[in-house]
Amino acid sequence: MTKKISRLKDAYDVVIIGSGPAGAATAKALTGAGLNTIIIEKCKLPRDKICSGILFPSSVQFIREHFGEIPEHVVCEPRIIKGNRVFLDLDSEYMDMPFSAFDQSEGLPETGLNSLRSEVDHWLCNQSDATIVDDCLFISSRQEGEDIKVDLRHADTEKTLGTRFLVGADGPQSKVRRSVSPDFDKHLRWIPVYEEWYRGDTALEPGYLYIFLDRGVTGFMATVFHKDDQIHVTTGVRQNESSKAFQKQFVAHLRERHGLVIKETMLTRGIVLNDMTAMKNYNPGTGNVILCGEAAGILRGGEGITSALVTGTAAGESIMACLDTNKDPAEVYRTHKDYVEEIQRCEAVHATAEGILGYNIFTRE
Amino acid sequence: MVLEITDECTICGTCLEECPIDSIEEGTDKYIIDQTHCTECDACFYVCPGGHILKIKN
Repeated sequence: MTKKISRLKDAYDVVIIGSGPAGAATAKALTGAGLNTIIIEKCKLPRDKICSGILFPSSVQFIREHFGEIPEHVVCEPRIIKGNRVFLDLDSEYMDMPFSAFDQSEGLPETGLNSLRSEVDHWLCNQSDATIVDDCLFISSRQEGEDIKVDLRHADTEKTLGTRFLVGADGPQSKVRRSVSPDFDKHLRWIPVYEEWYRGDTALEPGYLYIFLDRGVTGFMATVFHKDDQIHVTTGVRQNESSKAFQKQFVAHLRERHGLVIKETMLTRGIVLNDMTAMKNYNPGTGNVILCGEAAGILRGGEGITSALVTGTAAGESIMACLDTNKDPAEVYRTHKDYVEEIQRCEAVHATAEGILGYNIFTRE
Repeated sequence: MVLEITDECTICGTCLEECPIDSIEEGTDKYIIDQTHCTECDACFYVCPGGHILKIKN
């Protein structure tokens, strides 16, 4: 149920910032507990976000187990993603990297599912009984006695909510993280990423996530994937580099070597990621403020949806474990079995990638 | 799409603090977005308290 800011109550048991998979999973884990839970989203819903939208086998399995069968309206063409194809440099052929190279957990599907983030994220959120407020900005939070005060803004309207638990599920540029750990972000390295959607053609076969690692043309890492009748090209670079300039070089390479023909550019947009996961610099939050997903710095290489789902669920379960107790929620979360194991999985994925490539893509010069 | 700060900018500094890659500079009477380095992540667009940052189709 989506509500307007002016109609909100003054206090909620749990306030979740961010309506992606991490926030949705937190809300879902609290479903039925009788808690007043609210999800705050800065964009208008349903909102898209920069991401391949490929649900890796681990995400597909997790969603089926915790949220139910994935509905058709969140899926796009080509439906099935068979794996990754990695170009180490400009002259070599691609190297096939199936999903199983990074995750051999029992019962996993072999293939991934191509989804629309706008639809899948919204559907996930709607599987909980949380109130959802969109087009609403989290400004800051502060502790007042046993309560947390959360300042929000929608257009010209400001509102302060009181809550017992605050969950930052608001991505790599988390404002909740900055609110509770003001100095933490000063020491991060940032990865600017730029994306364009084209209507056109390419010789790259649909059904794979193409990853290009040539440092000279792609900066840090570039990807190509198909969504319905469009080709999405994304380029990530180092902090002081221009992602738009590298994208131009990369597109020129795609035209020359992979038959890219652009008939129309449909959309441009970007995001700024950071090196938290690469540096094992996690931030689970503090006290009654819990961070999950990319806000906590947890993702499996380039795949963040599974980590968001797992840690979001752990966040919700940790809150449940702290009701009517004096336990420290962030500490319960930091030592939650699933949180600890998710970090181990992320680090195993990084180690596997480094073993295959012979270098760490985050730290190579 | 490009992001641009309008002449209504009050130089409050909110966008400057928000941009993680320092792509917003102080101009003479308003802040200016460095279009070479801006990735269009929209972080500044959402935080501007006066709504003085526009998304412009290029």
